[in-house]
Amino acid sequence: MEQTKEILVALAGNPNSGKTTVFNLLTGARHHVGNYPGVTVEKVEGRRLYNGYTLNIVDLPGTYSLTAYSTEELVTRNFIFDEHPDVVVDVLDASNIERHLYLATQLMEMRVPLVLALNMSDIAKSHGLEFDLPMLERLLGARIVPMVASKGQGDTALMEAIVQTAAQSAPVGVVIPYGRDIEAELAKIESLLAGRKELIERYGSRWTALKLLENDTEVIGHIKDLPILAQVNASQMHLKSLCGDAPDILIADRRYGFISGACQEAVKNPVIHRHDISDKVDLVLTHRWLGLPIFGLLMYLVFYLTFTLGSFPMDWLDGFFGWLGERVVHIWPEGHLLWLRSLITDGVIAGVGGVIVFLPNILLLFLGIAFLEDTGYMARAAFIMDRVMHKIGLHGKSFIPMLIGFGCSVPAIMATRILENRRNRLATMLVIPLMSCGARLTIYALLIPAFFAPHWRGPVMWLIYVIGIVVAIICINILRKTILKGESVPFVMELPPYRIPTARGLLIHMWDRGCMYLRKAGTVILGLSIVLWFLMSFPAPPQTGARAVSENHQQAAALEYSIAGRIGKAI
Amino acid sequence: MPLCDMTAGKTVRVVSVDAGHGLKSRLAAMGVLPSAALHIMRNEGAGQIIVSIKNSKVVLGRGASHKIFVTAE
Repeated sequence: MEQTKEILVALAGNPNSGKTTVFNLLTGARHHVGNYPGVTVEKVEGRRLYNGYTLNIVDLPGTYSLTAYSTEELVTRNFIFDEHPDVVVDVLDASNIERHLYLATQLMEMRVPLVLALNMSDIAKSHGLEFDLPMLERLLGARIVPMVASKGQGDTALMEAIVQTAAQSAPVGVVIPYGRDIEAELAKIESLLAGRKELIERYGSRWTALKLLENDTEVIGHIKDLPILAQVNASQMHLKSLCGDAPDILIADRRYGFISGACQEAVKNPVIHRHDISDKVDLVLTHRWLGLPIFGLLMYLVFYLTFTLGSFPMDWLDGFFGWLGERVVHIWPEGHLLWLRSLITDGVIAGVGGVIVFLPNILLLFLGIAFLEDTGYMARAAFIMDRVMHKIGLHGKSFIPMLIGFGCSVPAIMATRILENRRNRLATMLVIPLMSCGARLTIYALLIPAFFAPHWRGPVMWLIYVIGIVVAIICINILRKTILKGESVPFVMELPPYRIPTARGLLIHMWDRGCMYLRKAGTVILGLSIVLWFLMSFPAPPQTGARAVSENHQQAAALEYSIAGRIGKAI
Repeated sequence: MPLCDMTAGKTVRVVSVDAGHGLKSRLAAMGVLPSAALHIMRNEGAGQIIVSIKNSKVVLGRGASHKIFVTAE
């Protein structure tokens, strides 16, 4: 029998292109979520068997271009240079093809074996767009597969195109012409690059020259020869005086020129209004005055559903783990290895239970967030909140994780991945623990009556929450002036058209994040609960003959005698 | 004229983008390049501006909108 061949497929595309839907369609729920080494960018991998081939598919971060200005874009292009995927699939929104092809032109510049997945082609068709696919394939030099990933259409054709493209030996894609002036400067730089074998092998000489001309910080960092840098500088000055604009803008303009040329030939009626319904919805949802209350209401609804619906399975799970602990105590042979019994019941079962009890809440919360994200509302929420958040130096989207932080810090910190900018993400993560989470509420409820008169209790509770928020704002300001220094990123964000989410997509999102919670929180909470158990149980108090003492009293005495008790006393 | 001074409902053409490399390339990727047409969907005189460019709706912060120079069509 023929051995299965492995094909490494990288999935690229703009945010909102339906890239994740395509990924889910290809891999199903069988995938693995992790991080790229050293950065907080999510790396999702999955595999699919097709026709004797094993397709190892990596879902790259959603990006608009491949510059060195954002972590996501750097991760994307370095993945391509380091891992040499056999095929790169660029997922395009067919109804907005010109903008989405911009990333494709940059992938072509990298000379990767490219397949274009023309997603949401049903919406494009309903808008009256007609594609001459054979013509477009010829002009772009890549296979194009029309798809409707949300309805499960086109995956077989896509896999066939992937397999065929992987089998080709010659690199596909056309070379984008930048016009005589830029080409002349590119040739000059390329000729100087001839001696830099390692750069040419990794990036190719044309791409390196292009990026140098674009002032790409990462590529320039590799060049230490003064003659090359001098030439780059001279070329940039020359082009600027000749064409009146910086080379990076000229090059971007050429890319768009190439795209609109191709679309004029192969796409009928490229000017469409994609937003008619979305515009009307936005009139209400992002309304100057109504926007904020609607957002508040939706958030309230998400939390309300999370905690009311979640409380039932939470009680069942709580009951189950209580019962399980009791069973173990019950069947345990009397008087043998009591420390092991205590480890299992008070350490392991209580620890695992402590993690799993929160799972229904977390799953429901993530389902709610996935719904808001997949419909396209999350971008509007960020828009609405940006005015407020901007004043304290955060991005509008930071609001969502901070709000979740009032429920539970673990999902809140996980939710910070919706923030694209690393600095914003870190600042938000660092202050989330200052939001009083649900578990702390019970402690407050215990402590406040012990210290304050009844009429003070309400205001004190409110004050604790407010102090948390105020300290968080102060911390953000300090962080942004010290370790997270840097220019604040100007707000530029796409508002995607509203879409009806698919149940499959929602469930996969919810499940992925739920698993991540179990893995991350599970290991830490379980570990700590065993440590805590150890501190509270050892050393055991000397056995006294006093059997008559009540169990409560005995427990209290044991606690006092243990390490934890001694630490507490010392404090 | 900077984009922030244009009223909603107008279609304008980009003349230049006077910003750092990061913002410039970000905007270029969105299609905000010299001679591109922008339709201003919302501008309330303060806060962000919503424009439509190449069939997508983009929110620009006030800061960014100061740096994009346009002429009325």
